[in-house]
Amino acid sequence: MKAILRVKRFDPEKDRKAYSQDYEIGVQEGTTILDGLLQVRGEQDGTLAFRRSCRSAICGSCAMMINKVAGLACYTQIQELRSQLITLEPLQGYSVIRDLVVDMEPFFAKLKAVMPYMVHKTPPSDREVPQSQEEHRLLAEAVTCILCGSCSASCPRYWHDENYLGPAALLKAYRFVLDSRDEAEEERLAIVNDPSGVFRCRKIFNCVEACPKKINPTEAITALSRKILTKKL
Amino acid sequence: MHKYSYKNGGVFIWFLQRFSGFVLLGLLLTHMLVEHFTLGGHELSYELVAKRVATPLWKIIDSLFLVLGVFHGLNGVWMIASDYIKKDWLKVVVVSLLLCLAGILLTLGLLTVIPFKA
Ligand code: SF4
Ligand code: FES
Repeated sequence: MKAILRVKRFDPEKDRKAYSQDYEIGVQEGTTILDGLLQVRGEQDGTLAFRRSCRSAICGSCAMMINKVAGLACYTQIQELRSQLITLEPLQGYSVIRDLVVDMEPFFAKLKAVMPYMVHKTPPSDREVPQSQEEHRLLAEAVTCILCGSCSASCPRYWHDENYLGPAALLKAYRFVLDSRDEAEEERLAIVNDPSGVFRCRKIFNCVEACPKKINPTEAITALSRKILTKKL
Repeated sequence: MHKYSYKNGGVFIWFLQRFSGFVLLGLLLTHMLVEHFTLGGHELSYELVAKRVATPLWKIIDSLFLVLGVFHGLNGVWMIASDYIKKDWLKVVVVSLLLCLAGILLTLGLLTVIPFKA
């Protein structure tokens, strides 16, 4: 089988505007978008730029808009898309560095803003800090986030507001707020209560649909909102 | 970069929007039931409605309806508008316009509801 990859291309050093370029590729059962892109770069056009590392949906670097929907190139099989023509575009809501490579800096800056690390204020003991299975179950879903940025790239609120923390950062905040070992709930809730935080979520649910790890960031955002509300009341 | 923290992000407005939504739903259902199923065989007429609307209980219900409706509706408009308006001065203009509109609607509405006599 054959398929056409219609790739949105842009090289800031040469191009004044982005344009689309078609590449025909061979497809077998199990061929992923990333396989297709590697085929193109290896055999047809060495100038095509895209990110990838693990090739197994774990590093989060290959997220892009696939037929207008954010997802992982290495996780999306071409045959499952049921179309011969596949458009590939850089993640929406991020600025383009080249072709399919976007600037993830603002995304990671927002992640850093919610303190994505364990805070332990009580003096360390000489033992480990245990957590029960029930306590861990609360985080089990949220910890599987691979920071691919697909959720934020699908969020209209994120496209229009450069300050909005976005689903991925808020999910990370939630992951630590729920963690029984963490001791910075106050600070983190204050941060996500920012005017660009949880209350800007419009419950569009695009992030839920986009997440390749089947995480529900909207639920996390709502849980944080409720926590803030009960604290204030 | 934007500094995140320690300003109120609007938790009470967020809550009030949801709360008013629920109350409005209840009021709306009550209104429908009363208006359409409790006429006891009478034709719907001005006299019938006027008598009910002139009682203190209905004045409270209708005022509540009005206040919550205006808040819920205009706050909704502001929420959507604020998603897309980036310039601070324009935000101020839109908020002022919406507040004026709210003032006018509330004044007109309450002037009709409260002194109403059958
Ligand atoms: S929540 Fe899902 S879509 Fe968002 S960054 Fe994490 S893995 Fe990617
Ligand atoms: S290459 Fe690592 S997630 Fe796709």
